[in-house]
Amino acid sequence: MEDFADGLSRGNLAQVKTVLASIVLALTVYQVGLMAIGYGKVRVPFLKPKAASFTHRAVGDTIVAITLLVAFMCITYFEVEDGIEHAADDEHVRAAVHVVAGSLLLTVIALKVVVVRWWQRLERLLPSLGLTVFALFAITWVTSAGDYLLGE
Amino acid sequence: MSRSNPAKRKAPTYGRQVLGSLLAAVLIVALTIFAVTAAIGPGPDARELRELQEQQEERHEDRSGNSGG
Repeated sequence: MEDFADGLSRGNLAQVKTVLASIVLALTVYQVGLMAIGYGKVRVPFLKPKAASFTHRAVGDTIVAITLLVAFMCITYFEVEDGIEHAADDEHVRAAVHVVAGSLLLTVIALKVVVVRWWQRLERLLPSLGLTVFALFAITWVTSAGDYLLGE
Repeated sequence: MSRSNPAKRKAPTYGRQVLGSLLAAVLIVALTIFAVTAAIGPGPDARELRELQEQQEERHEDRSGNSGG
Protein backbone atom coordinates (compact mmCIF):
# COMPACT_ATOMS: atom_id res chain seq x y z
CA MET A 1 0.00 0.00 0.00
CA GLU A 2 2.89 2.31 0.87
CA ASP A 3 4.40 1.71 -2.59
CA PHE A 4 0.99 2.27 -4.19
CA ALA A 5 0.65 5.70 -2.53
CA ASP A 6 4.22 6.55 -3.51
CA GLY A 7 3.65 5.36 -7.08
CA LEU A 8 0.41 7.33 -7.31
CA SER A 9 2.38 10.53 -6.68
CA ARG A 10 5.42 9.29 -8.71
CA GLY A 11 7.65 9.63 -5.67
CA ASN A 12 6.48 13.15 -4.78
CA LEU A 13 4.03 12.25 -2.05
CA ALA A 14 4.64 15.27 0.21
CA GLN A 15 4.38 17.72 -2.69
CA VAL A 16 1.22 16.14 -4.15
CA LYS A 17 -0.40 16.05 -0.70
CA THR A 18 0.54 19.71 -0.17
CA VAL A 19 -1.06 20.79 -3.45
CA LEU A 20 -4.22 18.74 -2.87
CA ALA A 21 -4.60 19.90 0.75
CA SER A 22 -4.14 23.52 -0.33
CA ILE A 23 -6.80 23.13 -3.04
CA VAL A 24 -9.19 21.74 -0.43
CA LEU A 25 -8.48 24.58 2.01
CA ALA A 26 -9.04 27.21 -0.71
CA LEU A 27 -12.32 25.53 -1.69
CA THR A 28 -13.50 25.40 1.94
CA VAL A 29 -13.06 29.19 2.19
CA TYR A 30 -15.21 29.45 -0.95
CA GLN A 31 -17.72 27.04 0.61
CA VAL A 32 -18.12 29.27 3.69
CA GLY A 33 -18.82 32.22 1.38
CA LEU A 34 -21.33 30.20 -0.66
CA MET A 35 -23.27 29.16 2.43
CA ALA A 36 -23.26 32.72 3.79
CA ILE A 37 -25.13 33.54 0.56
CA GLY A 38 -27.16 30.31 0.78
CA TYR A 39 -28.44 31.15 4.27
CA GLY A 40 -29.12 34.77 3.25
CA LYS A 41 -26.48 36.24 5.61
CA VAL A 42 -24.81 37.89 2.62
CA ARG A 43 -26.71 39.15 -0.40
CA VAL A 44 -25.10 39.58 -3.80
CA PRO A 45 -26.96 40.54 -6.97
CA PHE A 46 -25.25 37.94 -9.18
CA LEU A 47 -25.90 34.81 -7.10
CA LYS A 48 -29.21 33.67 -5.62
CA PRO A 49 -29.23 31.61 -2.38
CA LYS A 50 -30.57 28.52 -4.17
CA ALA A 51 -27.79 28.58 -6.77
CA ALA A 52 -25.20 29.12 -4.02
CA SER A 53 -26.55 26.12 -2.07
CA PHE A 54 -26.49 23.92 -5.18
CA THR A 55 -22.87 24.85 -5.92
CA HIS A 56 -21.99 24.34 -2.23
CA ARG A 57 -23.25 20.74 -2.49
CA ALA A 58 -21.37 20.06 -5.75
CA VAL A 59 -18.10 21.57 -4.53
CA GLY A 60 -18.58 19.79 -1.18
CA ASP A 61 -18.78 16.40 -2.93
CA THR A 62 -15.51 17.22 -4.73
CA ILE A 63 -13.86 18.27 -1.46
CA VAL A 64 -14.88 14.98 0.21
CA ALA A 65 -13.39 12.96 -2.68
CA ILE A 66 -10.06 14.88 -2.57
CA THR A 67 -9.95 14.70 1.24
CA LEU A 68 -10.42 10.92 1.18
CA LEU A 69 -7.59 10.61 -1.36
CA VAL A 70 -5.24 12.74 0.78
CA ALA A 71 -6.24 10.78 3.92
CA PHE A 72 -5.57 7.51 2.08
CA MET A 73 -2.11 8.72 0.99
CA CYS A 74 -1.34 9.98 4.47
CA ILE A 75 -2.46 6.91 6.39
CA THR A 76 -0.98 4.32 4.02
CA TYR A 77 2.39 6.07 3.78
CA PHE A 78 2.97 7.47 7.28
CA GLU A 79 0.47 5.41 9.32
CA VAL A 80 -1.09 6.95 12.42
CA GLU A 81 1.38 6.04 15.16
CA ASP A 82 4.49 6.04 12.93
CA GLY A 83 3.72 9.61 11.86
CA ILE A 84 4.10 10.77 15.45
CA GLU A 85 6.88 8.39 16.51
CA HIS A 86 9.09 9.10 13.49
CA ALA A 87 8.58 12.85 13.54
CA ALA A 88 11.69 14.97 14.13
CA ASP A 89 12.46 15.93 17.75
CA ASP A 90 10.70 19.28 17.66
CA GLU A 91 7.86 18.04 15.46
CA HIS A 92 6.09 15.57 17.76
CA VAL A 93 3.42 18.08 18.89
CA ARG A 94 2.73 19.21 15.31
CA ALA A 95 2.40 15.60 14.14
CA ALA A 96 0.11 14.71 17.06
CA VAL A 97 -2.13 17.76 16.48
CA HIS A 98 -2.26 16.87 12.76
CA VAL A 99 -3.32 13.27 13.49
CA VAL A 100 -6.01 14.34 16.00
CA ALA A 101 -7.37 17.15 13.77
CA GLY A 102 -7.33 14.90 10.68
CA SER A 103 -9.17 12.09 12.46
CA LEU A 104 -11.75 14.51 13.90
CA LEU A 105 -12.15 16.07 10.45
CA LEU A 106 -13.04 12.74 8.81
CA THR A 107 -15.51 12.01 11.64
CA VAL A 108 -17.26 15.39 11.41
CA ILE A 109 -17.39 15.22 7.58
CA ALA A 110 -19.02 11.76 7.82
CA LEU A 111 -21.55 13.14 10.36
CA LYS A 112 -22.29 16.13 8.10
CA VAL A 113 -22.89 13.89 5.08
CA VAL A 114 -25.22 11.68 7.16
CA VAL A 115 -27.19 14.73 8.39
CA VAL A 116 -27.46 16.22 4.88
CA ARG A 117 -28.57 13.00 3.21
CA TRP A 118 -30.41 10.89 5.79
CA TRP A 119 -30.75 12.55 9.20
CA GLN A 120 -32.55 15.73 8.22
CA ARG A 121 -34.08 16.14 11.69
CA LEU A 122 -30.69 17.54 12.72
CA GLU A 123 -30.46 20.03 9.83
CA ARG A 124 -30.27 22.92 12.32
CA LEU A 125 -26.80 21.63 13.26
CA LEU A 126 -25.46 22.02 9.70
CA PRO A 127 -24.05 25.57 10.09
CA SER A 128 -22.13 24.52 13.23
CA LEU A 129 -20.96 21.31 11.59
CA GLY A 130 -19.86 23.26 8.51
CA LEU A 131 -17.85 25.77 10.54
CA THR A 132 -16.31 22.91 12.57
CA VAL A 133 -15.28 21.20 9.33
CA PHE A 134 -13.74 24.47 8.11
CA ALA A 135 -11.80 24.96 11.37
CA LEU A 136 -10.53 21.36 11.31
CA PHE A 137 -9.47 21.73 7.66
CA ALA A 138 -7.52 24.86 8.61
CA ILE A 139 -5.80 23.14 11.58
CA THR A 140 -5.00 20.05 9.49
CA TRP A 141 -3.53 22.23 6.71
CA VAL A 142 -1.48 24.43 9.07
CA THR A 143 0.05 21.36 10.73
CA SER A 144 1.02 19.69 7.44
CA ALA A 145 0.96 21.55 4.11
CA GLY A 146 1.32 24.95 5.77
CA ASP A 147 4.30 23.74 7.76
CA TYR A 148 5.83 22.25 4.59
CA LEU A 149 5.34 25.47 2.58
CA LEU A 150 6.11 28.07 5.23
CA GLY A 151 8.42 26.16 7.52
CA GLU A 152 11.30 25.81 5.04
CA MET B 1 -47.92 26.54 -28.00
CA SER B 2 -45.22 29.01 -28.95
CA ARG B 3 -45.36 30.77 -25.55
CA SER B 4 -42.85 29.25 -23.17
CA ASN B 5 -43.55 28.30 -19.57
CA PRO B 6 -42.44 31.05 -17.08
CA ALA B 7 -40.64 28.45 -14.95
CA LYS B 8 -38.72 27.34 -18.04
CA ARG B 9 -37.86 30.93 -18.86
CA LYS B 10 -36.41 31.43 -15.35
CA ALA B 11 -34.28 28.28 -15.44
CA PRO B 12 -31.42 29.64 -17.59
CA THR B 13 -30.75 32.48 -15.08
CA TYR B 14 -30.42 29.98 -12.25
CA GLY B 15 -28.37 27.64 -14.44
CA ARG B 16 -26.04 30.45 -15.46
CA GLN B 17 -25.50 31.36 -11.80
CA VAL B 18 -24.66 27.76 -10.91
CA LEU B 19 -22.33 27.50 -13.91
CA GLY B 20 -20.66 30.77 -13.02
CA SER B 21 -20.13 29.78 -9.39
CA LEU B 22 -18.75 26.39 -10.46
CA LEU B 23 -16.38 28.13 -12.87
CA ALA B 24 -15.26 30.33 -9.96
CA ALA B 25 -14.46 27.13 -8.04
CA VAL B 26 -12.41 25.84 -11.00
CA LEU B 27 -10.56 29.19 -11.12
CA ILE B 28 -9.80 28.92 -7.38
CA VAL B 29 -8.38 25.42 -7.95
CA ALA B 30 -6.22 26.60 -10.87
CA LEU B 31 -4.87 29.59 -8.93
CA THR B 32 -4.11 27.41 -5.90
CA ILE B 33 -2.22 24.86 -8.01
CA PHE B 34 -0.24 27.69 -9.63
CA ALA B 35 0.59 29.37 -6.30
CA VAL B 36 1.50 26.19 -4.40
CA THR B 37 3.61 24.63 -7.16
CA ALA B 38 5.42 27.97 -7.53
CA ALA B 39 6.09 27.98 -3.77
CA ILE B 40 7.32 24.38 -3.79
CA GLY B 41 9.56 25.04 -6.77
CA PRO B 42 11.07 22.57 -9.21
CA GLY B 43 12.39 19.31 -7.83
CA PRO B 44 15.71 17.81 -8.88
CA ASP B 45 15.79 16.73 -12.52
CA ALA B 46 16.94 13.30 -13.71
CA ARG B 47 20.62 14.37 -13.97
CA GLU B 48 20.65 15.81 -10.44
CA LEU B 49 18.96 12.70 -9.08
CA ARG B 50 21.61 10.50 -10.75
CA GLU B 51 24.40 12.65 -9.26
CA LEU B 52 22.84 12.42 -5.80
CA GLN B 53 22.57 8.65 -6.15
CA GLU B 54 26.20 8.40 -7.28
CA GLN B 55 27.33 10.53 -4.32
CA GLN B 56 25.36 8.29 -1.95
CA GLU B 57 26.90 5.16 -3.47
CA GLU B 58 30.42 6.64 -3.21
CA ARG B 59 29.86 7.54 0.43
CA HIS B 60 28.52 4.05 1.08
CA GLU B 61 31.58 2.46 -0.60
CA ASP B 62 33.97 4.72 1.36
CA ARG B 63 32.30 3.74 4.62
CA SER B 64 32.38 0.02 3.85
CA GLY B 65 36.04 0.35 2.65
CA ASN B 66 37.09 2.10 5.89
CA SER B 67 35.34 -0.37 8.15
CA GLY B 68 36.74 -3.34 6.18
CA GLY B 69 40.40 -2.12 6.08
